Amino acid sequence: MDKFNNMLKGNLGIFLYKILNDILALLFVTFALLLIFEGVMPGLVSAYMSFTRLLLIIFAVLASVIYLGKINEIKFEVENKKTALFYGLIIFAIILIVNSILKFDWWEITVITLISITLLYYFYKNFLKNKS
Amino acid sequence: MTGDKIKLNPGWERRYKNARFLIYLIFILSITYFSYLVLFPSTNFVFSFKNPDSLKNTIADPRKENGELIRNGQIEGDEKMIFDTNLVGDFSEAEISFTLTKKSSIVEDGSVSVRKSFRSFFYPEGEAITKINPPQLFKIKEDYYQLKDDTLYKFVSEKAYLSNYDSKQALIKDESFLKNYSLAEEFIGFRDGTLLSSDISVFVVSGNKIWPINNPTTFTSSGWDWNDVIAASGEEIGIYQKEKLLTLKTPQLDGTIFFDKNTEKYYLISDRQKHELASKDALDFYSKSKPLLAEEKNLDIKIDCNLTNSLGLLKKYSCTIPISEMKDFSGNDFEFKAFFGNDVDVQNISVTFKKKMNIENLKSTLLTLKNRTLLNYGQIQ
Repeated sequence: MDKFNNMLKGNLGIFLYKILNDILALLFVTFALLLIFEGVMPGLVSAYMSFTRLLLIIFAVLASVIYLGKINEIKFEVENKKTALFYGLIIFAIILIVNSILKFDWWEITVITLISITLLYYFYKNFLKNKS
Repeated sequence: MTGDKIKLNPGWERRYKNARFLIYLIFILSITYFSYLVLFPSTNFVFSFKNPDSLKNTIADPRKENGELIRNGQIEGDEKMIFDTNLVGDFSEAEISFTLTKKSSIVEDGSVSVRKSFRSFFYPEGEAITKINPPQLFKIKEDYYQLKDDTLYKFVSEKAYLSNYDSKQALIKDESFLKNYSLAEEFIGFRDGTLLSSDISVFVVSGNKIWPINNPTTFTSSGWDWNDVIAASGEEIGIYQKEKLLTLKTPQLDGTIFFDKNTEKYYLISDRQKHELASKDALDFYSKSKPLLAEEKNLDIKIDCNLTNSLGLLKKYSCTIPISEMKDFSGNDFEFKAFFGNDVDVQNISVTFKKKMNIENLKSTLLTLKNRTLLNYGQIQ
């Protein structure tokens, strides 16, 4: 195991880390787009590919990135200020939640969306932000 | 070292740039391929005679011409193998292939033909219905009854009665009339073929059973109309025995009426036969059933192809049939008839429906996608 870790230290490890980061970014973008397509036209994506498999691939790549980062002592810097990405993700989450419950009454949609977003923000604040 | 300060030496940096280019290229090619799959879709149907009861078998009922199911894949030279596939959407061609077992003799002069209609409309024609005994119907207070064999059968509701008969057909009687006959425990329900809804489910009635429809695609492609669905109460649904899900593979149920506008003939499906409604009495009796439109002349239109062994070594025989001219035929069932010329032992059947890559098919797919989107958002209440 140590031999394997030593092999992944240095240029090879950093090379893999950067490549996997690129793959992860592409997978995230693909996953988000496919979720929107599936939401608008149910069955369009799931007829050809499994979301579970895609999610498992994303987790595997994410785990590899974390592992390689740890071996090569690469640290993350999470900015505390709210970026455009943060607001973008909130808007994306609202779109997905509202789209999935469109057949409900408007007040039910409002309540469910508000609760979901509040919960997401709570998790962000208590787990991710504090940890950083 | 932090994320934005990761440095590689020049050699590795070059490798990284090349690898990144390759990954982006693979990503673009994957998106292109996925778009191709969505815009020019193909659908595959299979049947394995190794596992004839497997749920993975999407080809329906491989059988001989006499209707006997083929479970072992063995078929004699002078017999034909018939099977069905059900699908929604316009496709350009169907590629049919048969994989034979190792011990099977080869196919020398095989062919496959296809025709399209409703599965039940392919049934052989049975005796025409000419005579209908007029029902004895009564209305006592707000309830409707039918007299059969000296027993009164109550209709489960007025809606159920009206799905069968007109209100003026029932003679009005007072409660003392009930004392003259024994009252059956069973209720009379809705007319065969009636569409009932309960909560978010829609059912089709046939006899004393109801079949839940598995999804909206099955509903619309079966020729039914959402306006014909009757909202049923728990009591009305409760008198029926619930059957398994009705899918695209399920043949139209007993009680289904077909109408051919070319010949102006009506047919009733019953016991795997279609019976012409050949008298005014019969037509009047079934006048409350909404018929599915079918065309008898389409049953005679067959397109065929000759089976060839394209791979040489493997005992796999295939051929392709153009089916675009059948796209306007009513029904969603493709009935295939294969002739092998000599005794063979089939292991697998595969049918792949494909769309050719052209502007017309692209437009057709985009229209389908648009309609699917509208269907998804069109039912918002």
